[in-house]
Amino acid sequence: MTDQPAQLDMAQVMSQLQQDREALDWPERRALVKVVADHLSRVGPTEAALSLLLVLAEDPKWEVRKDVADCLVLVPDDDFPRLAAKLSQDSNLFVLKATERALDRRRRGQQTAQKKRRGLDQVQDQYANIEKMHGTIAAEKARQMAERLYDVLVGATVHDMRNILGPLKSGIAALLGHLGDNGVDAKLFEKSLTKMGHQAEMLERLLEDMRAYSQPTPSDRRRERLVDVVKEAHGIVLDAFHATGRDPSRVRARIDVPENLTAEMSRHQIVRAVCNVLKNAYEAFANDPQTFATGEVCLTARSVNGERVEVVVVDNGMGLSADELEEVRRFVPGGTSKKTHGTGFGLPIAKRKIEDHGGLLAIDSEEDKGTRVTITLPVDAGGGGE
Amino acid sequence: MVDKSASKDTFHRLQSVSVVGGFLDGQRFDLSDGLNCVIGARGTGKTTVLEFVRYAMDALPADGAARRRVESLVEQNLAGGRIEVAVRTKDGLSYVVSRSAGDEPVVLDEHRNPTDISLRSGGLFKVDIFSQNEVEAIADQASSQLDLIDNFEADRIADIEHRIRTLKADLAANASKITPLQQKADAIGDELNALGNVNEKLKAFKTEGGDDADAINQAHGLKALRDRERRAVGATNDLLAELYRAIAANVGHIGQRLATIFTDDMLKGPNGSLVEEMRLGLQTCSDDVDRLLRDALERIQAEGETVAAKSGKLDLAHKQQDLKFQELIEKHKEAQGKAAERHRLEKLRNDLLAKQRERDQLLEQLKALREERTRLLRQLSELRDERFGVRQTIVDRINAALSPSIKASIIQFGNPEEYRALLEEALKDNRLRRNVVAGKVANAFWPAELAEAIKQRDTQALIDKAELNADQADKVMAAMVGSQVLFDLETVELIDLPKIELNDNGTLKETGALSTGQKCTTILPILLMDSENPLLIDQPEDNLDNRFVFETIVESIGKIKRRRQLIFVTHNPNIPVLGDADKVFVLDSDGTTARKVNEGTVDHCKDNIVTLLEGGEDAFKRRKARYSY
Repeated sequence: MTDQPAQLDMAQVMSQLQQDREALDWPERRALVKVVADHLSRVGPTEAALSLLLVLAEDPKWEVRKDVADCLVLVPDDDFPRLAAKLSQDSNLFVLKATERALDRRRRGQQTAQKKRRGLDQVQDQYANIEKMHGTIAAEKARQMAERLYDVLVGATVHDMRNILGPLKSGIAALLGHLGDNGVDAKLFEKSLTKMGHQAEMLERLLEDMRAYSQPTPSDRRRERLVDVVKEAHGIVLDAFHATGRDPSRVRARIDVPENLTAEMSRHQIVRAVCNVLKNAYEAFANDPQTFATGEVCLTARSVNGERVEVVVVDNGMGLSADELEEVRRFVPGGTSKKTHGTGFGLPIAKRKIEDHGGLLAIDSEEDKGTRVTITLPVDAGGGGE
Repeated sequence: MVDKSASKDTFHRLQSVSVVGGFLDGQRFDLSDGLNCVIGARGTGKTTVLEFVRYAMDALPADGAARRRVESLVEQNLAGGRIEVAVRTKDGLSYVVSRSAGDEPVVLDEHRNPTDISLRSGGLFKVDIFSQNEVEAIADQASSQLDLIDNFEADRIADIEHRIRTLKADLAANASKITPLQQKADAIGDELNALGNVNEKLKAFKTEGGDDADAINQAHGLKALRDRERRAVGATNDLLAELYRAIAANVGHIGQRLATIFTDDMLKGPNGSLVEEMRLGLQTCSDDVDRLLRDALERIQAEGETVAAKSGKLDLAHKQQDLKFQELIEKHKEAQGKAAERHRLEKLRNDLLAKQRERDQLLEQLKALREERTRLLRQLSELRDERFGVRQTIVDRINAALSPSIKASIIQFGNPEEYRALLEEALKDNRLRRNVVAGKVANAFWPAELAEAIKQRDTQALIDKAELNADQADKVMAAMVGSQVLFDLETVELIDLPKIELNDNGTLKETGALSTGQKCTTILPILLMDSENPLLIDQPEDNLDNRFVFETIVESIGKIKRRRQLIFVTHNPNIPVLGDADKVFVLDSDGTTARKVNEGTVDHCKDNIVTLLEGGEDAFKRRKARYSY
């Protein structure tokens, strides 16, 4: 059946039914609902189909009305309430149940859609809040700032990605060119492909960091022992160095966390934040991409009034110049890394995760002297997060 | 007094109640067509009068415990005696219903001759009787409320119910025919799987080369054909024999039945000659039909003989052809070796082809049965709708009469318990949380729709609609596919669910959630609506405050007592006095027997009313003085 005749039929059938409901036998009217349902799902909601459904929703035979109720999921939002209101007053149990089910499905569908929209809606809500509290100009400024920040972030990320893709592409071109020569040099291939492999990994890390940075922090919190969290983070950092063939043993690590310190947190997120900070501390001794200079990283923790815990990570490595420190303190991803191995997302991610927990992250540094990062976290969850 | 001309022939009535033997021995109550009140001190037999009427009119409660209570009360107080109730139907026919203790009621005509009218099947009319506490019990039970509603159109509902029962019996008969036919067809279907293999093998024989291969193939083909011809003769004989038996069974059929249809009393009665004419006509018809049938039988027999003769000739021809076949085969050594196998296969093939034809025929029959079933199910659905339609109009009537203080509504099939129970039963042997699964399935499908989904093996529908997981859906499917329960699903009773609500200062409350008094407040006005059946209530004022008795009951009585006979046992003076009873019966008892000490209008029985219901003249006067009216 083509669509056009089905539409024509519907209009004709409807006028027929409006004149005389019994013009069609009720099993035929049931079949008619099926035709309309088919039309709705294949062609979409047309005026003719919807009007016919409305007529059939008042059919004297409940089986017909039940079939109409089963079609409710196919009806667009604008027309849904009219039809649903009619059917939810029905006098037959099975019609009522089918209507209930359709309403329920729709509600659940809306919830999923809402979840998708939630991120942007929240931003919108924030603007509305700012406008309410600080006025239209402030809200407009905030919007402009956010947009600018977005531009900067995208710009920096695009820049980083280009930096990775450039050598990758030229590597590929070189290898292709080399294939034209007679006699393939296996060593050259190995060298180039290894390099390209590193670049691909780098790109992967960058993407992973971007995701970590932009993903909301989960809202469920559990009480964790701080010492466990720190040790896990330290283990991960060391494993990562070993995995890339870098030996960090010339850097001495001193970790001193009282056993009794705990805080409510989303464990994985805090581990990640501590990882990033520790990794930076180690990197302060990286004199070239593969080796470390001698030095010391020190992590201590203490309780502040029993309400907060403070974690301090200190290194006596290369430190940051005043300009660099100023740049770092903006906590904008990408732009500031010393680019030994990192993506420039490490510290911004750490700061975000900590702040999502209602905590603070501060950094202080002096060139050639060293760097100190201070993290404070509330013992009881309550602030921040989603 | 009742204005007879106005009320004539619009409602049924009880005219008198007489008791022989027992506690109320010799008492007779001549009832008025309007409001009757039975009054008396406690233990004077008021309730007994009402229960006697209930017993005589065979209107015992359906519920077992309540039924036994009435029976034991009657047993004790009737002491082997008899009750007689004289009645007059709205059509003006008078009968006497007589029931002795322990016997069935007998309906006598006005000359006291027994009739074959049965009270239980609604032969006369229904009497609406409510004992103490029965009114509030209605509020607690959906089934009683449904009865209450049906009661307004008892005849129509009974008629529809009867048609539904007949239809269900037809559907059951249909199902019992389908099942064995289907099994047979399936079994044959399995056997027919061999056909392809046999065909293949025969084809292989045919494609083998060799000298005279074509001639040998043809000869084998013809041999198989001869086999089929023999079968055809056999089938012809069966067919003729079957038809012969069927026709022979009908010879003399009309004649035999005539003897029981027209009895002697009719033939000798006042219309005897007319009846005799009819009988004679039918007798002639019977003779003619029998002659035609015998002709038919002869014809069939003759054909049978012809077939036998022809079949003899065919056998001869077959023998000669077989001989030739044998000769041909023997000429070819290798063909001879295969001939036996080939012949066996040809025979097998012929067997299978015959079965295929049998199966085709079965499938044809099944198709017809299924079409019949679809038609019957359609009628069932329409009858259920008709029944609901009647109930809906009654509900509308209740609302029209009693809104806004009472709101009634009804949901078609609102009580799916029987459906659910059937499902649980069907799923019981499976490791499922069957109450949960049955609940989900019952929620999502109406029974016939579920049966359809199972027949189509639509597991996905179970998952999508009933939100079962795949494992549950598979188990449900496995438990029900091909099972008898699919037929049961199509006919399982779906019960309509009424809801009666009381408007309590602007809030609608369902009857189950009401106080005892409120329950009566809700149900009584419905009982007091128009109906052609007499209404008997034991102490309608129970659990009610006087204000409600005055405002609602007395008012309702005033409205309907010219259109419906009312008989109340009461302790509340408002009912006889303000309801202006047409007849008051005053009972008294000495402990061993009770008797009627007075009867008549309110004026006539004024002294009794004041003494029994107002606490005596002195009490009444002092109350009046105290209120300073």
